[in-house]
Amino acid sequence: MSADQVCPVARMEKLLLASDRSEFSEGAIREAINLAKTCGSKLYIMSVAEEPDIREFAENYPLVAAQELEKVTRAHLESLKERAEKEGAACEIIERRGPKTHEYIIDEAAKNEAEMIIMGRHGRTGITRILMGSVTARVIGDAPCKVLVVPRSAGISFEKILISTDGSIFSEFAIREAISIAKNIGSSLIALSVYKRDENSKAAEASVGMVKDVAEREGIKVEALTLKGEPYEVIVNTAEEKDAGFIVVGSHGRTGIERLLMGSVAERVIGYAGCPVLVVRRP
Amino acid sequence: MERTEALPRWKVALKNWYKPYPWLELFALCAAAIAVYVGWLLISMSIEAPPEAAVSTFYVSSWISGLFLASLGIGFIGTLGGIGGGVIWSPVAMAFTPMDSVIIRASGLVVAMFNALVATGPLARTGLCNIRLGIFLMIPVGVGAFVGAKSAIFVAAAFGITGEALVRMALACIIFALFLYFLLGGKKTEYPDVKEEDAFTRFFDFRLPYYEPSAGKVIDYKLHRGLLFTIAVFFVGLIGGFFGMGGGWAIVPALNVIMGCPLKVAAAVSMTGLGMGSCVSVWPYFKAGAMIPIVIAPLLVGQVVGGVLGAQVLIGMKAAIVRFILIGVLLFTSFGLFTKGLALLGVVELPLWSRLGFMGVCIVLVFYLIAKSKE
Amino acid sequence: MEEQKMRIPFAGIVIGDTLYWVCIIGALIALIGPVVSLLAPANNMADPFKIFSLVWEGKSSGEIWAAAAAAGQYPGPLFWMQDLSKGDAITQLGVWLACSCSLPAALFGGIVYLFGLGGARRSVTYFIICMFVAFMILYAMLI
Repeated sequence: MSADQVCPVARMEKLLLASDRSEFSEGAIREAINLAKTCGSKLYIMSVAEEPDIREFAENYPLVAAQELEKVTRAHLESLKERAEKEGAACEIIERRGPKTHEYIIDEAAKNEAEMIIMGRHGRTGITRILMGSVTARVIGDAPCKVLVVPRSAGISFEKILISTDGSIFSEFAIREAISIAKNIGSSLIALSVYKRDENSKAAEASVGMVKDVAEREGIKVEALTLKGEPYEVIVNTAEEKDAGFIVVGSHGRTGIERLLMGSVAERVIGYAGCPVLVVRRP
Repeated sequence: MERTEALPRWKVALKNWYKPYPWLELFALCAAAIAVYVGWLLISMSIEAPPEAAVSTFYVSSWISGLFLASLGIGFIGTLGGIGGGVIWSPVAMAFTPMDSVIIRASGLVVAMFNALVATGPLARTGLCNIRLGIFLMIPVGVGAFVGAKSAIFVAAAFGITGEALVRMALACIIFALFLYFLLGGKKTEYPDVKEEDAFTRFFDFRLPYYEPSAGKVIDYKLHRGLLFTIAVFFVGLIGGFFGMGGGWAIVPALNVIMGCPLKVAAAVSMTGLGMGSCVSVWPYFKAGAMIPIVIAPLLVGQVVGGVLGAQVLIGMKAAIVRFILIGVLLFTSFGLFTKGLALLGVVELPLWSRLGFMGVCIVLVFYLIAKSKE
Repeated sequence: MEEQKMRIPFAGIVIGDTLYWVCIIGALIALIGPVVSLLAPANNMADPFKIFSLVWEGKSSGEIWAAAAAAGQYPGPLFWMQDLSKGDAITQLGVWLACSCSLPAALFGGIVYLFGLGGARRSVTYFIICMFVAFMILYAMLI
């Protein structure tokens, strides 16, 4: 649970929380309200009533079921608004309806110029053998801003941030973000690079070294680690061992087949991590 | 990832089916129906048929249960694809089965009618159902459909085989027009902006505000061009009654485009008006003996059960693919109707390869539509 | 809240519920009918063992009733009134009930409109319309 007085992200005027009314969004809801309170941001709370598009239907539209769904969605949004306002966060609710959930989330984030989207990791089905819900995956793939994925029961702590680098350009933006957050709050960083084969160990050390240099120049305490193993496994385990509050990863940001949406390492890290993961994409 | 998600969500919906739909009696009916049609089917395997019967009890029971399942399936697919079972049933049966067209049309009317009828009860409590408009709608629909049904019986009696052929060919043209309409999509607006009511609508006092949960407010809407609408609906009813199809595909856009009715209200009103209106138009078929009880009964129950379960289970599912398949089926059916009509007239009997070839064309079309929508 | 401010029309509820219940009862009866038919196959208006093959062969309704009915012809649309002990009479009762559910609905609706019951706005116009609807159904059924 975050009890920080300082806002972690330098500029965060607007946040978008996307909830699917399931218990899997609980973590995201909690952290979104906290962040909004701390940073003095405006919190947009959004939920989608996933009903079929009525304009496509000639007849037999499931009207009663659709009405019920909308009522439930609205009630959920109202209760979230109450909760947020009680905590002192300024908020506005957005209700959308239709079949293309991830599209609406991305659309609202862009429309309202949100700096971050916060959402749960899984959908209502809660099938946890799938790494993450398809909505989350697609939002990350196309998001116009940072996306914070919060597992159901996790809380964010900003004391220790784990940033994983693979030396690519996608990691660079993630690194910049992690350093910026660390500087704002005064957290310490764990810079990690994982290599699979021994001949890559030098390259891994080099990329971690680069992060260490930049961080120390900014006055941030850094622990640099170069480890061998399966990347996502090592990242997740390290985060746990070192008690990292959250993980920052880069995203490829390509659209298309979901496996390639963010690279399989990032996807697996998000899927297996016990703490929230911030996905930073190339702007 | 789409596939793995769709299945569990369906299961979850099934797990929670009793929660959002508090109509216990409907679910009792559904359970009873499944118990009877499945249970009896199994029991009938061991029941001896009377000695002079040509077929076994099991054969008859499997017909009954088969009709139930077919009707259930149409109810599901119709809801899922958004095109409606009534439009599919009658034309497909007329094109591809040897059954008599009057009997097919009678069954089609039942199939088109009950899905909507049983939904009207719960619908009226949501406030969406503008009952005055629904009752009013019933008159042109009912009269039109009644005239259509009577004409169907008359044509069948008076024109024999030629009549059968011409009916199929006329239906082929209509189905082809429907195919084009669904393919290209109509221009429907969710909340049309009507400036002024006209004398007709004001006289009948159609205004009925309803609460829209997603907007969080009460929506009051005005309607106009009532007379034009009434005339249009009469013709829709005529076609529906004559060919044994539902009319919702035409009534919803008519309400929306001509009268300026919001789409949700249009859907609700169309269900009410058609369900009630069909109660008028079934009688000519009853009188002619085309409504054979043991044939109609499983269809009826299948629609009631299918409509209820369909609306609940299918609310969250992505149904574009089913819609495209149905559109392909429409195209293929219109071809089938046309060729069957020609064959009945004795004009020409198209060889098998031409049918298969056309089916291939339809399949290609469906794949093209699916591919285009994925972009 | 706003939702409570909006009035749900009482006539709609009456009509909707009437349609709903009559339909369900009709469906239940139609559900049991064919089972009764097959349990006592001799006790039917039309022989259930012949019907489906005849239908599939494409025979017209007149031909089917001529071949399958004990009486050799169609006994009329309301034959359940003649002898309810027959299996398919029960089936037909169910089908008839479900198909004429609009009749009681229209009648009850008309009464609601005439007397302005349950908070509905009194409307002679709609009373007349409901009565006309009931008349249409009766006319179709009996003429």
